[in-house]
Amino acid sequence: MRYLLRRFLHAALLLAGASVLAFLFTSLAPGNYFDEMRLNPQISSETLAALKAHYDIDKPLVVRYAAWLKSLAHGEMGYSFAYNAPVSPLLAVRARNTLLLTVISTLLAWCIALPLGVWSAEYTGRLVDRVVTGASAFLLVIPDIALGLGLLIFAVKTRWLPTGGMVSVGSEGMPFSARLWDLLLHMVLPVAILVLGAQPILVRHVRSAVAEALEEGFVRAAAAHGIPRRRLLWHYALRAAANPLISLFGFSIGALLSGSLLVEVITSWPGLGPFLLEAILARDLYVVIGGVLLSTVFLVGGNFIADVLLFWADPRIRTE
Amino acid sequence: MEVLLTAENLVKEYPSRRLRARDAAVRALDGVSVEIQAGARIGIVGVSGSGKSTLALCLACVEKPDSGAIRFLNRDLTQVDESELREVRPQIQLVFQDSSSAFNPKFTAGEVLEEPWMLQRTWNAAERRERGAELLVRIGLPGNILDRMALDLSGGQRQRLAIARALALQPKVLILDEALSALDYSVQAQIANLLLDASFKAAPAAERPAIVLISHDLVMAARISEEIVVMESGRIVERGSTEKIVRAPEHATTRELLACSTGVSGKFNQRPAV
Amino acid sequence: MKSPPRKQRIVLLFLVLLHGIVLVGGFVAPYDPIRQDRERPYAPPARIHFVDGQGKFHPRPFVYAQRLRAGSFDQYEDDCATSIPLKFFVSGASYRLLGVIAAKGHLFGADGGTANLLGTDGYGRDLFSRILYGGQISLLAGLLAASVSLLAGSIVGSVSGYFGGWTDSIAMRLAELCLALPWLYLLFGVRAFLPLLVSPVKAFLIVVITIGVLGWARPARLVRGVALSAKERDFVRAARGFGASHAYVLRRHILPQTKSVILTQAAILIPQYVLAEVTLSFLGLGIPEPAPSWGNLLSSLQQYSVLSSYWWMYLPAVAMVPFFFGYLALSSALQEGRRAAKMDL
Repeated sequence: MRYLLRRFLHAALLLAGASVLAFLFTSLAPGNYFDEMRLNPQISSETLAALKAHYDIDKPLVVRYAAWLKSLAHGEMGYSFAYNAPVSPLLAVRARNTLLLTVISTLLAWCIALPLGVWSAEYTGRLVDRVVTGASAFLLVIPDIALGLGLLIFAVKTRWLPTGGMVSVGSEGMPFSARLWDLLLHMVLPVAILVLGAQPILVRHVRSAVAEALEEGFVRAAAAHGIPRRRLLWHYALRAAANPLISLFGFSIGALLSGSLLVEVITSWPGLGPFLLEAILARDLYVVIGGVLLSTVFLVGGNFIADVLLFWADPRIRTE
Repeated sequence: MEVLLTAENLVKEYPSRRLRARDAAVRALDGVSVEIQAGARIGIVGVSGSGKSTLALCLACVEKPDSGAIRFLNRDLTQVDESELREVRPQIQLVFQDSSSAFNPKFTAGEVLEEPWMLQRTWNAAERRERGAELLVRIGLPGNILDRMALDLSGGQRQRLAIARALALQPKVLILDEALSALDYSVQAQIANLLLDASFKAAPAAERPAIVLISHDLVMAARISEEIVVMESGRIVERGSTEKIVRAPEHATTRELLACSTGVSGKFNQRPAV
Repeated sequence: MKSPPRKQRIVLLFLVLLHGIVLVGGFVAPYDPIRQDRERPYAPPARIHFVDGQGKFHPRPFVYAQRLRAGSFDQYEDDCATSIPLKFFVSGASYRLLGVIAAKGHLFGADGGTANLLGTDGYGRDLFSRILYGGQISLLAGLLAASVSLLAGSIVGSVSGYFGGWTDSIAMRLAELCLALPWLYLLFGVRAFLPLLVSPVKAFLIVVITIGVLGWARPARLVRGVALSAKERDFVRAARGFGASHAYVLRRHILPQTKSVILTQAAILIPQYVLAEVTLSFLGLGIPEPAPSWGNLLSSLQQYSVLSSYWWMYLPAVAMVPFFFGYLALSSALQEGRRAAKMDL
């Protein structure tokens, strides 16, 4: 239990640190944003004055940080200049979409990588292993952007899949099952890009972790006792490999989250990625900060889940 | 003989790792005092954990004692600042037990030998090479090893190189921390003779370093030393001239150490003084 | 230094060759990368022939001139009446070899017409030339950014590991924080706060410094590890015993030990950073037009029409693959080499 509390505290500290960094950026950005905003005809001078007062530009840094934290705690993340609306609701929708994509991609990636890695480790040197390792190496060499664009071209040429967006136009009117099917079809491309991109690293690490675990004394003893091979692999070896694999899981969340940025833009998936990009090009300061902070929350949260998994999987940690 | 280096009431504790058992802190040195005179040869013996290595590290100013003083030529080394200490350090040299970690793995034997001079003398490369060759002769190593990788040498050669390096700056005190323990018995004997020669035959008396040998092998220490100090659990339990310790040991520990050492017969011939 | 094993040497040779081709890109490329030809937007790659329409074999390769198909605005067809032979070592548009030496010689050129071996982009610019020049920029960005990261990481890591204490704790907490943030999002976030509409040179510097500085944490941690274990070694103690200063010890004993860690990191970071620059440029946040970079060469693919009709615009992505393969092979060869060296000792 102490372990969980410690990890939670650690996560909270990381988020606090991230918020400080984010806040520092808002105040240290070259050029006063409010001056830039003044040049923007869309924003009236009253709004400008209200915003300025709200953000207390002239108060000392610490006071502003405290105020910013307070509003953050209320779920407020500032004001979007481009959309003329508060940031949070805008980000919430996008965040949900990104989360959907990332979670499903992570689960699917592991569901594929685990069996492949375990089989590879089990049949090291044989055909299965060589095919898997070769395919992994092949995928590894292809940079994400090439993979994404390549699959996109493939989708466009074959017309098997919708090539953009999250739902088809006019899908609101369809019955639930049709809408679900429509959503799934739209997810195939982005998820495929993310999963394929993640495979090489995951499979390689699963393979080496399981191969090492199979060499462990107690696993060999179990084999000598006549434990059937399948049980040996999945219950004994995999358990022994749990620690490095769970840290890998935490790492994969980060990698997939970063990868999702590009994938969302390429496939026009309405997540945080394209929204962030738009905001950067439009110099929409608070959206950018909110987006980066939110993605950090997801990452830290995901790693905390990995810590919880470790707690559940490793009895040694439970008895600490 | 003038007193060179003294340890006065040294105390050093290594904190125990466990947070709860605070009284389980290990006292490596519990009020140890030692006096080293110019040109003396002292052996400090004890079993593992008796604190002898810690004493060596403190004397060489590698570790700082928790309390007590270390005086070198009447300067308390525990009180001086870093730059002053840096001046003093070359005069008290330490040779470690494991020579394989005492050399930078990427250095040649020549680079190892010349490093002290690069740091402390203003000689050019040719001079260093020359002095290096001289030192090698004194130490009994062939001149062609200078270009070989330091770690490629045999155990005995490495230890000689380590001693050579330690003697390079003509220190006043040479401390050998179990420096012979990892060697074959015959090689040990050779190096022991080497040390005696270094102590006797090294030019004028002024250049002869005082030798402090830390060992768990009492007989080996006795071969080299004039005086023996026996330690146990951080304290000195017996000290005296080598003859007395070997012929008439008083403390139980001393007797145990004698019994454990190889070649014990009670009869013992110390090499005659020059 | 022992000479590197055979496998490493082969891989290194391969990489050097690839980089060499890009390095002399001005020579290998037939055309100026910025030269537009509004008459020929999105022309497909010209096919090289040795046998003409009559079945006659020509030792000198040639291409056919392309003309717009009647009634279409973007479909080209080969004009079999006009053949354009390819000549080698011709004189063409002037450029600067290695950015310094003014030159005019090119590896090959078309005699009496334009031969776009990989097609043209929306402005009629030769894609083959742009890929070569773009490679120069993208690879250089990756290399420079990796150097920045490694330099910053080495300094912080070695000082932090060697001196320990508060410096170490603070530096490592900071490193942990930087590594806890999702990398690409952080990169974009920082990029957002720097000026966007700048000249290609300024943009290049901004991209290199941003990517490089943000990547200090991992190399710093690794170098710190080496420094931590090195400072406990007896030879460091011995050097201190001879009166060596901290600066001497760091320079002579600690930093040389970090060499292998730095090399392995370099093999991993360079492709990663090249990809970062490509991603930034692809999305319009990196090198701006008209300067070519593999990233902004691909950015036209964001338009559906280009994606579906002009497949050759994907080729810059294909060009990246051999480089990534080379770096991957290098890092695994380095790893194998280190494992083998450990077993020898």
